[in-house]
Amino acid sequence: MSQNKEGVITIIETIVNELTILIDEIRPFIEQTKPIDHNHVQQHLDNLVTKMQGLTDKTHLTYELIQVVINSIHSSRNELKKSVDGLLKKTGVQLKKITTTTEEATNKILDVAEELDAEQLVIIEKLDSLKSNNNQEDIIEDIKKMIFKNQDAAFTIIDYLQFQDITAQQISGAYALLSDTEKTLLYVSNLLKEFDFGEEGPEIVLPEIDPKSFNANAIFIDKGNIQNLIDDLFETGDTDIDIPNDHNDIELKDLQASVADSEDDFDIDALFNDNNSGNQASQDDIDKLFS
Amino acid sequence: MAELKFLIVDDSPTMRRIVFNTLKRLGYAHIEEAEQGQEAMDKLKTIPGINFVVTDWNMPVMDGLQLVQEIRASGEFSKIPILMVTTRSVKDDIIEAMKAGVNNYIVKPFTPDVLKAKIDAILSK
Repeated sequence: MSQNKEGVITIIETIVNELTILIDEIRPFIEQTKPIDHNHVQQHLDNLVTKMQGLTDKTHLTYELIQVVINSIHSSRNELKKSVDGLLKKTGVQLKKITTTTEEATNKILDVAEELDAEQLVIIEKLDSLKSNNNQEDIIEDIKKMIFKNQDAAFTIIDYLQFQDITAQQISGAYALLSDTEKTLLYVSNLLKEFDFGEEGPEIVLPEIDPKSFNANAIFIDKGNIQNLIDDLFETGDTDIDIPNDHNDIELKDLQASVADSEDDFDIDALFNDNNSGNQASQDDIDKLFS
Repeated sequence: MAELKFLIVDDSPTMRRIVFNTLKRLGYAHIEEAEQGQEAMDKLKTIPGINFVVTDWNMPVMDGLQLVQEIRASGEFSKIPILMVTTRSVKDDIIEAMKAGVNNYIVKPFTPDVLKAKIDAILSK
């Protein structure tokens, strides 16, 4: 039908036109100034009925289109909810798992380090008693030096284990971010839910992380450079000391200091330059970077 | 000053353990622990003799900065030396901690030498 090719607005405009013409046709009859042309009026009434039928068809078609849009929104909302319920929550659980795992692993290493430390002291005492009964003093001294060195190594491990606290804070930061994203997605999902008749959106209940409990900008790098500046600040009370106020600047400053200390020993560009595959860093270079 | 009795305040059990071991290695035997600021305040009130606080900044319930402010505002403990050990290293944070009343400030990760130097510096004043 030709009407189906017309838009609803066009049909309504045609109906209005037909009605206007019809009124003009009827007006003389009403005013009794002119005899009515029944055929003319009938023709316009027929046109009007046809247009009205076209409008009904078009309205039905429009409703079907709206249904498609609603179904599409409903489907998108379900997909969004699945994504919120699935991926983001899993990511949160996974991040929590990382924290728990690193915590457990770190404590196991600490157990070993503590036992090592305790045993070293016992060995030193035994060696001391042995020393009084033998003349192998040089050897015993060497052994003691080695044991003390091992003890230092054990404590170095303990120092390095501060990474756990730092990664935990970074992970908390990531989790808080994901939690915020989840809240936003649920909010959008609830807005879309308004398109579903008679259904209420899910209540937004998410685990809260106390924002005071972590520093998302925590970084595990040697802070010697910054620590020296802080020491100056506390010694002098001079707040004009050039301590960076931007986390990126701090990281950069300490990394630059770290590279400057060791740049004579290796080529950092070779280490990080992906385009120069023929000049890749050896494990020794990498070890030097992290030593 | 009488024999030192430390209170380590950190929500990370690992960090408490690391600071505990480091203090032990430096020769300090009397060490108490708290998970956050409120627990630290409770321990200060209930455990006699605590005369040095080593606290983290980021903690739930009552953070390190609030703890410092609480301690400085309290009549009884206002003079206790406080060393802050934290990952926060931007200038504004450090100055804020300084104004709140920390006696010294260490940025994590730290070494035992740095911890010893800061404790000695605080005690020498």
